[in-house]
Amino acid sequence: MRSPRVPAAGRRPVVGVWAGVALVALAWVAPGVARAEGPLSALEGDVDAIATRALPSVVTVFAQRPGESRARDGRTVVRTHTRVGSGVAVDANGVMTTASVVLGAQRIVVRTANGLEADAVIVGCDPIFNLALLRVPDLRLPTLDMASGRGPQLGDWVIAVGTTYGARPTQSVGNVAYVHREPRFALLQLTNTVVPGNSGAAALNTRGELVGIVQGDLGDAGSGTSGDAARASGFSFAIPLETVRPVYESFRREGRVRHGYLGVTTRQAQVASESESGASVPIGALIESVVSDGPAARAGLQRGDLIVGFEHDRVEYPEQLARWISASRPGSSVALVWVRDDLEKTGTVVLTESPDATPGWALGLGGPGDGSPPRITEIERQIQRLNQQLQLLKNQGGTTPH
Amino acid sequence: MNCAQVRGLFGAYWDDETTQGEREALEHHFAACTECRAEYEAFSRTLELVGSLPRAEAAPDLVERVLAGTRRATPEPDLVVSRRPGWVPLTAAAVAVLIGVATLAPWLRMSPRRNGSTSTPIASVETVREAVRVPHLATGGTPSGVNAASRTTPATTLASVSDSVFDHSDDVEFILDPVTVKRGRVRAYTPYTSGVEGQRASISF
Repeated sequence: MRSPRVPAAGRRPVVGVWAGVALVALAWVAPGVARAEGPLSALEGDVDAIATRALPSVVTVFAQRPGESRARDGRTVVRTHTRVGSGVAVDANGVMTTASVVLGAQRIVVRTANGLEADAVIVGCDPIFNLALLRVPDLRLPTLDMASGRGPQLGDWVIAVGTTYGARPTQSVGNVAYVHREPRFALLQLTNTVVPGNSGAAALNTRGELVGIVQGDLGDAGSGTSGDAARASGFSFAIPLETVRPVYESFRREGRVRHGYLGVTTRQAQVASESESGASVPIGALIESVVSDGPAARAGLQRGDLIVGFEHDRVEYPEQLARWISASRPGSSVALVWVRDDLEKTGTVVLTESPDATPGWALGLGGPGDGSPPRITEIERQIQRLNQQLQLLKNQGGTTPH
Repeated sequence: MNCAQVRGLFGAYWDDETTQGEREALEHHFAACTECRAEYEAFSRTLELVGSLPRAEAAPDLVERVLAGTRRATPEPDLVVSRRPGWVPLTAAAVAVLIGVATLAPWLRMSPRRNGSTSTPIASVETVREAVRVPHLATGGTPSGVNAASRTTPATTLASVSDSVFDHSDDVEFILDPVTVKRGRVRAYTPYTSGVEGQRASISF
């Protein structure tokens, strides 16, 4: 008599074989499933392809200058100070970077993604636009095409490719969060993450074309220029091509940018804030002196006038006005609004060319002021008086029972 | 005709490109040598088999795809051929000048021993050699400065930064310009403007 266990024992190996076959089949199919390329992985591949293609055109810029530092024994020693940033090849041996990387450098070395290093010379460097063009005679670099057509719009994707510590490449994807516009300037606010050394990096569109030069991140301007990981804000800024291209052309043509000149010396005017006690509100650029027969003098501007408007934009700080004037073309007409004797005046000023290649104010050549604000005290008093009256009215309104 | 010579003629015999004499010699050898006959049969069978295979056609867009792939290939940065005068041709030129001067000296009444003019061309070569070097940044005697080009390998590198820049032992600053946004107004960093900020500062433009 056959034991009933025999057939059962005989089936077991069969089941085991089928299970094994199923496992092998699963193992064969599973990687295929994992490899299946969805839209997201295809997108990632596209971004990687753009960055990989751009990388040979992105270089590390080492700008060296002698700097002083204090030794432990108190002596002052001269050391080589190196500023490191990124750069973008815009022609076969031309590299665009930011002025803040190379300004004042005595020697500049460029390092490519494939490890070549060569000396570079400054073709043009402009602290107003914070851009510089370098020439690397010993290198032939693959160039990045500049985007044509409309500039980056809100929401457009941006791929930032630069270099950081150890000249290693960095890559981030983001989009245009906001376009800051002011006279003669624009700045793209991006959601890309940038890291120290990225100043001068490439901002690319989804076609791999250059749309801007990375400048920096949202930080404290008073903290200096050195990048700091702790400062990471999640926002970055890039100088768009609409600013970069004319500056680049100007550098190529004549090695510099011609700056507009108004012919005034101004200082900041401010009044106490009505909403925040102890704080002050800047109200414009107060003219301390006017260069005789200069553009401002010819337009009728005088000492004591308070410039409050430039081309339909509000002027708050003298440095702001100086930037806009310096970034204007010599010979161009600009509409100014100023206040004299409590009256608003408007006029058009034809700018001349700045006598200095780089305006003195941009190099920190500001004076302490003459200490005798001509009419500002008068305006301040009037505004304070008005503020007090307004506060009184508010208080009365607040205590009046309904 | 030995076996090696016969085997060297297999291809020609298959294609019927042998002379009358070669053909007769081959066939005479085949009659006597079974090894060579078997070898030739294997040879001819292989060719027949290969010939009977279907012909693989290239994809119609193969050429276009190859060209597109070439266009997409990422170019690499490269060194350009140095346009600077190398020291070898300069030395050769200097030597030529030296020989010329030495040859003409008797006619020009210039005795090398008398006025020491032999040192002049050599000195000029040295001057040029110094000039074509990448200028060395004055570092106040600190050896941590950058290397001169003369210390690098010209084939791969024309300049170099010291390793201390990479390990951060040097005075190194990685740049990322701070941008401030205040009440919707962006205040982009410009180098060297810190001195002009503040209520009392006055600026000219």
